[in-house]
Amino acid sequence: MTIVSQPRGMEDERVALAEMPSLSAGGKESDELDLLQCRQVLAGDNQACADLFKRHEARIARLMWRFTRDRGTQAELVHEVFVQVYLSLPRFRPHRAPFEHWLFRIATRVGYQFWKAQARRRRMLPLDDFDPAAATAADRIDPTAAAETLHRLLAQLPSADRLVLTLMYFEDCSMKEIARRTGWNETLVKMRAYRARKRLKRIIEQNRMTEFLTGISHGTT
Amino acid sequence: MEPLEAVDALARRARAETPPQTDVNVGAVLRAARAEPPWRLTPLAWSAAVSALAACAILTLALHSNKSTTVDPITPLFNAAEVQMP
Repeated sequence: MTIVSQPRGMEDERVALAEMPSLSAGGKESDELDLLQCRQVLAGDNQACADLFKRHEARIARLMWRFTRDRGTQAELVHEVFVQVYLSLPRFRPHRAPFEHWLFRIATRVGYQFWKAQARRRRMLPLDDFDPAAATAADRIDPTAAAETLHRLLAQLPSADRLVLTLMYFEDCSMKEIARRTGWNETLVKMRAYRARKRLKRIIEQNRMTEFLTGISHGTT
Repeated sequence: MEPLEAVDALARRARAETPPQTDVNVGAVLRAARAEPPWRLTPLAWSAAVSALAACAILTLALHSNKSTTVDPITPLFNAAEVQMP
């Protein structure tokens, strides 16, 4: 066990450490392991930190892939998520939510901020240069082609709408789950989802993509 | 088929995609985290700070503009009175 330096704010967070409850009463084994490793990370154990990050990396990488289709950017986002997790760990309150929920909330925020920065730089994926025929010529039912198409479609929406629909479509999240991950209230999420779907419909009709999408859908069912 | 129904079907298919995996460098994560300045503000703190600065700027501008455009209501009355004196 290598003990090096501790995350900042640790000295003030002794109480948080002591407050971390044991989840043995009804929690999952992984939740208990998360808590144990959080305690170890807060105590300055780098190996526990590596184990904690590695155990969750696959799911975080999967989520970050929903925010970008570029592998380099995906790796950068995953890195940023873990930096944020490490910095925020002293503020993690396990009695409020399991570690995994907290982690996904941070990851969602990192992805959302990435989109907002992208929108400021106006680096949107245009639909103009998107050739549906070429995208589907190889294999209509290829999940990667479907994901690419959906990603491009959703990229036409404002960041908040895009986030709601991305979590809904790609992650199959319920409204409650989206609210939990984004920190927005459920009514707002429902309203955003409704408006976002209306906007999406308009975009599809304006770009005359209905026929193409229907073609894909028939191929998938 | 409605456009949104088609999107729903597309999404069901897209969920079957296997995203690429990453290999996070934990050492680099720890170095980056420790290199973060301690005064780094949260988004909420940033917005509060920007709002406070904006409020100060507006207040300063308002005070200055008041000073420059203030009309002295007394002096012109005296002047007018002097002119009309026999």
